[in-house]
Amino acid sequence: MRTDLFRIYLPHQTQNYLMLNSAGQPSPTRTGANAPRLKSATPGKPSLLVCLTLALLCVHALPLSAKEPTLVDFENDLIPVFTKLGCNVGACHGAAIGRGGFKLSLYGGNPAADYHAIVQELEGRRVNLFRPDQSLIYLKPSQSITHEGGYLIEEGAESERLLLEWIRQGAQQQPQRKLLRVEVQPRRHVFEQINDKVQLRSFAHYSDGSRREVTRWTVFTPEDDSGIDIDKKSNAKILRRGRQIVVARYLTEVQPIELLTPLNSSAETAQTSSNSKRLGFIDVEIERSLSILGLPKSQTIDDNAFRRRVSLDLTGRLPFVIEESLRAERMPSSGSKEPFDRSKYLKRILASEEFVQYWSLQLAKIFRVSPGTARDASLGTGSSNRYHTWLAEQLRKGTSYKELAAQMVLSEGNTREVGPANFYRTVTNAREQAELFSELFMGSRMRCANCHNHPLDRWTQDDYHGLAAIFAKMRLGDNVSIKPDGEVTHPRTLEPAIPRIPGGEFLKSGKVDKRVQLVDWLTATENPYFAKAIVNRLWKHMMGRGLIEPVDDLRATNPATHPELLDKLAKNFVEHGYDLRHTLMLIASSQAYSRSSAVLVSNAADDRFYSHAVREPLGPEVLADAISDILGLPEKYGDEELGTRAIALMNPRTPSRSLDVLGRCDRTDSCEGSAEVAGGLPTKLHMLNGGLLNDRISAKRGRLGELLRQESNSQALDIISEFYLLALQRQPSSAEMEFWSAEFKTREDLSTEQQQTAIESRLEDFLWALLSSQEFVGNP
Amino acid sequence: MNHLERWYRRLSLRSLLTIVTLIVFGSADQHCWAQAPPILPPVVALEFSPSRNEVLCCSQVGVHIYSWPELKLLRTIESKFPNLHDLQFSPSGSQLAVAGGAPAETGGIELFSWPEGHSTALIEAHEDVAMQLCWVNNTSVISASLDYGIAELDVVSGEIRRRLEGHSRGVVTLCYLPLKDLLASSGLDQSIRVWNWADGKVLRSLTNHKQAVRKLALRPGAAPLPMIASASIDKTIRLWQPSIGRLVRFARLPSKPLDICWNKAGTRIFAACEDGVVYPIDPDTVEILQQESKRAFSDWAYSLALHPDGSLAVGGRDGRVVRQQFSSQQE
Repeated sequence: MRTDLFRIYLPHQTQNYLMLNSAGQPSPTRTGANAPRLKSATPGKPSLLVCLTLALLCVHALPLSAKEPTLVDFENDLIPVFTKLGCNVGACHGAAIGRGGFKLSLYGGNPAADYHAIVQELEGRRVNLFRPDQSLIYLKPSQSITHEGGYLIEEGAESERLLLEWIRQGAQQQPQRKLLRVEVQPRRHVFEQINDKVQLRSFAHYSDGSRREVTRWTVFTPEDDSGIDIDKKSNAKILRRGRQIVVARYLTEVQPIELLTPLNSSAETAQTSSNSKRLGFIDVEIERSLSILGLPKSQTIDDNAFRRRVSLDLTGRLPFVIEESLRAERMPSSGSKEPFDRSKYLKRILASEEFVQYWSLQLAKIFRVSPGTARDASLGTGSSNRYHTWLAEQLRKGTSYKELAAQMVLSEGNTREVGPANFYRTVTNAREQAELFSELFMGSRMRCANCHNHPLDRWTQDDYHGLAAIFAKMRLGDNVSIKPDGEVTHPRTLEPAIPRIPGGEFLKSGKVDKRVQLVDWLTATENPYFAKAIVNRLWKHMMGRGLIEPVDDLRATNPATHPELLDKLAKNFVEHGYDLRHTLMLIASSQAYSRSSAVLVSNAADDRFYSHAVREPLGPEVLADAISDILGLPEKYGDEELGTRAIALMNPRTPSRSLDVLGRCDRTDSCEGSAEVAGGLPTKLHMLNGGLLNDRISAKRGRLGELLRQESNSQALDIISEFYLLALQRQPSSAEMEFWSAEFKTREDLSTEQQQTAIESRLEDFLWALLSSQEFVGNP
Repeated sequence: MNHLERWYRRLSLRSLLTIVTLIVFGSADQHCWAQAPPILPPVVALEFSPSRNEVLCCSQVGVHIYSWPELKLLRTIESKFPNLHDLQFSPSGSQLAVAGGAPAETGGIELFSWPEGHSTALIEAHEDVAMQLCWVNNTSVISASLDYGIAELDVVSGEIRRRLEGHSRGVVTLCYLPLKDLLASSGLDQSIRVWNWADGKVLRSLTNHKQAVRKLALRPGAAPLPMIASASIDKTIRLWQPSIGRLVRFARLPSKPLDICWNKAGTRIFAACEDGVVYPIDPDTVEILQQESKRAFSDWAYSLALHPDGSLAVGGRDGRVVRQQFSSQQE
């Protein structure tokens, strides 16, 4: 039954409103604090009495107001509540299209948009300023009405108090202070044993100089739920040994917390550390981690293994190939006492043309040098060949990586003539160009920020579209040129995006080429991304695993396994003129690089701290060339001249069954996250059963046929030793020799011709086994 | 006297001076500000009374009734709905219908006698709030709801005559075209649907808007091809001839429009926008008459209503209403 209430306002009365029911009687409802307090609307000059009354009210109100509770701050108090309750996560209203017609920015990355959605959208449907507890924003999570997200705000909880108080205070948007940074404690913690606990805490620092604990509104998320457990009071309990990362999120700030638990006892660690000689900064940092984790180091590889490793890593060739080319002396015989100078060997390799050829391929993969997909094949190939050739020229000249990047970003012209201009031929529009730029030169994935502020990084939509706006001024394609009227639309504002340096300031409008400012920022000494991105890639190539993985995903919430090492490597790279060779030399000269891949019982679980070498399969091109070199039979690649090495192919789509089988990357997208390894199942099957090896092993004009013709009267075991030497850079061990001796025993009842046929057949089997072995197809 | 006391005294004197200054000089402002404590909800719809000497302001508080043009608060009518979104007088002027509801629960219209302001009926027709209503005649009201539906309501019996379904998201605005017996509706799905009112079938769907549509408004007059204006979050005002499905032209605004209305002669459209400015638009040239535009508020101008004298009532947040006079309206 309705109660026909209406309110009559009576200006100039002490009590300026009166509730009447339909019978005209005063009603006790809706008076006091819940009723609107209206003041006189009568225009005109007020009396002196009114002024004095107001003044008196001021005098008395001031001390009182000082005691009043502070305003609830929408941005700093309320959004963290929504994040903690999970309202603005991707699975709920933080999804790109929202949920149930209500969209919040992901993790509260855009407070203004959230305020709009909560307070203003649909004529303020979600907030009832007149009856705060009837607000939809409260009724849903308190499940006063149906809510798919469930019961989130419990009665009497602090979240309820904050939300209702904010509405009562008028649902104001204006932040009272700006969050400057969030400090987490501890940043790093070493547990002694499983099930130990540590209290995680977080503190917000504001622009007004204040600092307050925000632990209860911080979301602590372990990267691996099975490794760590975090309770409601933010206590972290370690469940598994090793390294665990917890990401702390408060508002838009995310911080990683590193939690370590030794894998072995400290006694063993102490022993390994005490054996250390004078170390460079790489080994100091590596050994520090090993010491904390109680990980012993594997043995150092001998000079022969080092030669194989380093020649494959730096030239993509087996040592006998590069050494023949360099006219260097071949590996000393087992009885030789001649010392091997690793440093001298490295320098010769780094100065070789083979290094240039192989690292041109590596850079071509990083920069996705490709003829393209939907283009005229000849035109595209001409452009990509020019790009590849230009990269080789820069490597040959020793151009610094800084200069290389600058030339690429600032280039324009016909892509068949201007190699670096192909940087603008790789993708098809300004947004993709921005993504390419960030992934290549900053090692950072910005593409999330296309639709929303990056949930795990600092990038905002303004950063993403601001960077795209810089590239929108370029006409992409085969003829790269300036396009003055180019622009991209910011999806949030629906206006042309304003050019912006990522994480920096908006660039002023004008005719100045914004790329110049972009390059200046990128290649500045203090740039936090540029040097780290490339040294991390170099490290991964040499060590088998990046200090940050994936290598194009550098962000605060994906911390390096050895952050100090990455910093020092980047600093060293900058100090040495952004010289790729210098950093490669530095890494190859470290003890960590020379560690064996043979694991110890107590370091077998290590997959990222470099207590042993990471056994990496050879890349498709390198393996194809190595097989050809061992078999003595070059492979034909498309229309290329016979004898062309796979690593010298400029076009990643040159027809080749072998390379397809081995899993080459066509570079239409990043090759860094692809399965570009020779260890996949299809590859293994082809190695075992396919024509990749079987068709070529028995060829008479190959190396095996040649050796058989030359040494028809010698022992098969000599041929075996020769192949061991070429393929694995070592002599067979006594056990291996014993095995092969037994295998090659022939029946005496056979004729000489039959015996020779049997030996040849078994040698083919031997060669197949050798080329299929893990030791050959990998770089241990 | 300690430091704190001195500080309070200085502040008090400054406050006194400020208040006196505001009262003395603020009253001379050409904007007649309605009284508005800082926490009042926004005025989301405005309507002039049949006598034209009162303006009714719709908000979560209820319906404030102010004198016009003085903007003195006369009284307030409360509604049973916690959220109100629209109000309109019946063609006879004897009834006031208010559209609203409880978000995500129920929606419909509440009827009040006029001028008494007594609630006479409450018709719940939707599962979410009704955002706009439209009188067809003295016995029939159409309501548009965020439950994606449109309902025709019999205000005599309080029954739902029929429902029109077809929008894929919430419907927020309606426009009845009496001369063609058509209904245009639009909302969050960005499309404008034109319905044959007689049989309730969709004649066509107009889909040029890139964002949600907030308001439809019929051009006054009796042109053979009636014209409606649609205001969208995509910052455009589009002019349509819905009976033939033609987009005539469009204007692009500098800010997102919240409400629109035509002047009496159909020679101007006024758009109240999120930047607090009311922009006049020439519908024939779709020129935004920037020189004639007027700022009503520093932030959102939620609602508009045109008085026969050519002045506009503009509603904003905190229960504020201002009167604006545009020279081009004086016809």
